[in-house]
Amino acid sequence: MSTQRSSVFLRLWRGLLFSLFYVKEVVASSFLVAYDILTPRLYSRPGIIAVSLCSLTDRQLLVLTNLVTMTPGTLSLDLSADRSMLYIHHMHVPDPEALRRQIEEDYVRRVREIF
Amino acid sequence: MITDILIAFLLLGGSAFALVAALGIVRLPDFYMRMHAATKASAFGLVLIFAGAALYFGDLLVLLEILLIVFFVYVTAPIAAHLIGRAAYHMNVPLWEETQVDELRPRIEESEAEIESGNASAAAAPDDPAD
Amino acid sequence: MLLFIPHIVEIAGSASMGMLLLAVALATWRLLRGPDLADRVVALEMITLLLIALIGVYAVRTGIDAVLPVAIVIGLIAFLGTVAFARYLMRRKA
Repeated sequence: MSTQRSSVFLRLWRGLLFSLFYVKEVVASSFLVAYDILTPRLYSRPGIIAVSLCSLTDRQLLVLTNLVTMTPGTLSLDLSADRSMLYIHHMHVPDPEALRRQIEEDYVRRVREIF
Repeated sequence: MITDILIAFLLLGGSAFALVAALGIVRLPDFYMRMHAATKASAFGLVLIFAGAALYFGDLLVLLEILLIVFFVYVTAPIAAHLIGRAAYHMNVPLWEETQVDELRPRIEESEAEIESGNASAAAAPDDPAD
Repeated sequence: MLLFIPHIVEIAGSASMGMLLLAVALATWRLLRGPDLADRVVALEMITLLLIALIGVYAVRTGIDAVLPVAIVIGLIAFLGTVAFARYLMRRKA
């Protein structure tokens, strides 16, 4: 996990994997949003959830908010004053706890490992 | 020949996404959901269209210009969305009645209570980090 | 069917221009209707994104690549405009 000591190649490799992940998420999110708009009934049950970020640098925060806004039904809305919480508007919130965990594990962890 | 078909496909697909985004902006029930459509679907459509244009010109300089456009849109669109969304939320633009949870409202009420109690330094803080 | 293939890019270009114009019309409806100022700002941002896309299609349709820098300029100005609007909204609330 120590990003400082990992080699340049490992970071490049992770960066490549991350960009693939990013593209995949963007494509998936676009189709999901498009599907929800085109079907006559709205399946969307939106909500705003808080995700905890423990001490990210400015650069990590920028990448994370960018990623969050561009991916499946999520939109970063606000950041708490002490930068410990990110408030996300999500289009499908059947279970806030599971979603929070998923975002913390999927996005925050990935971003922290690479940038 | 094959590239022509691919270009046509990319152009049509991109404009289809843009059209869906515009439909979304008309149909979706609240401001925040409309913003989902406006940022994601339209940015994706734009990328498809410019990928088609890059294929069509097949020129390195044009490719660089197009990469610049796409990169620029992908960096600025989320920032703009974040700023408007935050401003709208602070202005109390209503959420759809089907909205399930809202974990931001208590936080804002808390900080507004601090403003009213005359705590000026705490009141100024929430606006600074993202500006 | 085979007759169309030599002109497929032109046909697709014209069709996507039509779709984009329809999208602009829909976004304009939202721009006029509101109901909140924030809705109008989002509609305006959407229209500029669509304009950028239109420039891309126009470049393909006419074969003129000199119009592409215009897209960069529009994107830049639109971004600054949106940021200014967001700040104005925050100010007005305070």
